[in-house]
Amino acid sequence: MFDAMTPLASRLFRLALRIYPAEFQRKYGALMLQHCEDCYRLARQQPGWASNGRFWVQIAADVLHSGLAERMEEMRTGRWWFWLVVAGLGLSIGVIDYTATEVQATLLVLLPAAFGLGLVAPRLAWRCGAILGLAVPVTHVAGHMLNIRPPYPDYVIASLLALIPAFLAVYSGAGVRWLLDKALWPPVSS
Amino acid sequence: MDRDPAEFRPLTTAEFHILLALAGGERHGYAIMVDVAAATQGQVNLGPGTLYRSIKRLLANGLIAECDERPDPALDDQRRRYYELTGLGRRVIVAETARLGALVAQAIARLGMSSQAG
Repeated sequence: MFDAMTPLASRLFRLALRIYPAEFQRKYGALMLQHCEDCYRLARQQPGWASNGRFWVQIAADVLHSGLAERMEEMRTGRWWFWLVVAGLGLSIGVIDYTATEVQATLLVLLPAAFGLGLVAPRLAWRCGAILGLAVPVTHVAGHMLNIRPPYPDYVIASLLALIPAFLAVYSGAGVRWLLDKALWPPVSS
Repeated sequence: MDRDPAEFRPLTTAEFHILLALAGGERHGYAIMVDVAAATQGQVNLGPGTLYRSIKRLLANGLIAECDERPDPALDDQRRRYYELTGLGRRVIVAETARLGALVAQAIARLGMSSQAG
């Protein structure tokens, strides 16, 4: 009676499900696809193409939001994996800052990394910001201890300034996450 | 030993509405979504990701349980997984509803609103 999802749409949705952890996909992937197909049939009852577009935007936002949240939940429960990623990012940022001649190179990596961490793990924002920001002076100190000279006059104390953009970016990410949560869910209680 | 419903506070919006929908009887995922959308006049629409993340948490906490898989005659012949409220889940949704009701009553009294205001 009502239009079913096209095979292409089903394939794209199955692809989007890969944002979820493997265990979650295994348990709920088929149910989610079935649910999406049901919702699609319901959306097709509305007149006009706009309802179709709105349906896919809502599905995409829902899958992105919940998929990232589920990934982060998995990281939090296996916390060592998450901190390994953060430490790796910090080390990379520190090495870039120590070897680059322009501060823009550091910021090009630090800002999106910190923003991303704030977005996916807002409750760990200050710790992520501290790790990324402190990784820069720590790498400078390590470089001096290993007698590796940077290509510019180096002031380790000045490298502590990296904490400022790190915290600004991580809390910006956390703020965007808060806005997304508010936009997707009307409050039930205060 | 019975668990204290307060352990599960506060419920997320999705969890609250799913438990409320299941208080009316066992339902499959799509039926839960339709029930919630109807109860909230379309303000809360549970997408597949949000719905099944919430169901996963509610199952893990023992607030709901899986019943069986069977087709819904009102829809099609696809087998659908049904869920039901557990005793603990019923105690949790009752406690949360009472808490929210007390909160609303306090707000109405403090703001000097009529209880009929909507």
